[in-house]
Amino acid sequence: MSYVQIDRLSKRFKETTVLNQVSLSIEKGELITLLGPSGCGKSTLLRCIAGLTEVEDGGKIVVGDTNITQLAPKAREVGMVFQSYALFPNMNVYGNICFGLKMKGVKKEEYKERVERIIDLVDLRGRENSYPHQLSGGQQQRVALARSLVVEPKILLLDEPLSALDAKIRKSLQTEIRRIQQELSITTVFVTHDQEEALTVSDRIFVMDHGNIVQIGTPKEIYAHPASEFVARFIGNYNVLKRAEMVQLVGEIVMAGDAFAIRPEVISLVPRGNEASAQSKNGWSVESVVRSMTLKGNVIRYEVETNHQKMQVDVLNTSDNHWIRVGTPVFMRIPAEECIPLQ
Amino acid sequence: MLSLLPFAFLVLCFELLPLLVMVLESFRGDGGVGWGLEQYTKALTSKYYLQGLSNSFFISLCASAVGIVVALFAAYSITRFSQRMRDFLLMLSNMTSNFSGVPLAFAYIIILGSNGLFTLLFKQLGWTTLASIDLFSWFGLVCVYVYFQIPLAILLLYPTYYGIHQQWRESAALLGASTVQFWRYIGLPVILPGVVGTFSILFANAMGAYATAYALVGGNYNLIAIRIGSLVAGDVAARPELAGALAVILAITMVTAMLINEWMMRRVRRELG
Repeated sequence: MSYVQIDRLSKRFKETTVLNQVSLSIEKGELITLLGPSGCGKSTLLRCIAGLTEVEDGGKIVVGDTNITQLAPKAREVGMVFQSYALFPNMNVYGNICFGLKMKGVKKEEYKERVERIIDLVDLRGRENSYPHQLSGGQQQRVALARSLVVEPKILLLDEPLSALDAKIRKSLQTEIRRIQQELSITTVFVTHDQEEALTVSDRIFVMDHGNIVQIGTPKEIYAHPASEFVARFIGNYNVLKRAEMVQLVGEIVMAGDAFAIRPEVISLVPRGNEASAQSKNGWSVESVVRSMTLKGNVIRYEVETNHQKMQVDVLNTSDNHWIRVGTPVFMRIPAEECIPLQ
Repeated sequence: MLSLLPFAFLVLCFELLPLLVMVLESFRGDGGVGWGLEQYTKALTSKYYLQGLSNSFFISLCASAVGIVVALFAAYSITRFSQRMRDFLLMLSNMTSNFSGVPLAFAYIIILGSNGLFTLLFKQLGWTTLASIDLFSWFGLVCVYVYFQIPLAILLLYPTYYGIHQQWRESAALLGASTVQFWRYIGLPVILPGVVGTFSILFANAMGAYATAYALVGGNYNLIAIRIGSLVAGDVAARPELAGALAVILAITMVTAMLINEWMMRRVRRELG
């Protein structure tokens, strides 16, 4: 039996259904991510687990052997980190971290060592006496994480914890969070709308849309095999084509599927005149024209037009790679095995 | 810059100049003869004026204390109402905080005066303790002051509650704190500077209140604001120099209260920023 089991959880706000009979299970020590666009219900699901939002009758949340559905937040033994950190401004770092232990009646001599250990774990040594307003966003989020972890919760809930941080700090904290989670082997639910973040930190990803879980899988599975048009569009910059559009692009196809997803990086561009190298044994070569070019750092993104279809193509930005000018006629080579049929 | 001239002229003629004259007058001898600290010596050694100062001080302290305690709960309650109700209650507070002076004294007299509506009703019901309330006393003055202090305190405290984030409560609850523990360890310490700041404004407001007190007790109760008024009006003999010294002492008390408020509010803004 899984460590966390959520069974047919529903939540409605007036007429709007935010969670629709959601069921999921999480293994002990696993980090799962709830990924989806704003308003898909991921934060509501997290708040339901925390007990901060009431669930409709019939739903059940079990952690370990305990049904926590009707328990008050303080009795659930869950830790939560908010996007806005929610640090107590009148307490310094040390005060914030040991607050939960004080509330649980742990004596100072007992919690001192625990607090010291967690301060080292989140790399806040030397900032114990600082107040929240004296810390950077990244440091504040570390304090919030330490405060939640020090009480040794059964599950750690992270509600878009890195959204308010700049890109560089966000990336370094993603790694930090994953390291700490693995070191403590704590069961964690991470909420984000950033697919790259989800792919980086998760053991498994639960993609949500309109209060439903629409796909579950490892980051590799989700990225390589999106189950639907929604997932394909949300998880990456897939080119998603309806069957008719695909036929218009490459001619008759034998593959089943209502729509097809093609990753931009699997398509290659060959300038006209190199027809021989453009020929593909198992795939298609389509005459097209480069309409725009954007430098994305490690890749160059081309927008290529053919038969009134616009496709995105990512080419690795290497020193020996010549940039193709806008307006250049090219062959677009699409490998057949990289076309993912969608439901 | 030129557009500021009328404003500068107004401030200079109607605010700074009278203040300057008052301060200068306070250093003149009786009848405007000579310069010195004679008026301050009189003001700070005369039992009569010291009693006025102490009466004003304690009435202001009590009225502000009652006002702040009631407003603490009332302002919090208002934050829990719907937007429409909140707007209505804030409008009501705004209106009642400005209802002072002679109309307020009159309202209280017809309700709780010697032949007031409620006084007569209490007599009829045989509630002698309530019927014997003396509105024209220290207690009566505190009651009337409290009337305009509460709404003012509500208006000043109300935004402070919005400084308390919902996620602090949620975090505290998840960490095992009860509602009482949340207010004890987080809520009250966070709003405390705002409360102290509001209290200092209430205190200054009460210290300077003249019209309400004068309309209610006339010269029968020794308050510093009434003493200054009578020394300027010269019911017996006009002594503007002594009035000036008393006014400067009153102003110093109020400025000190305002400075405490400013210091506290800066702390609140820094901590919540």
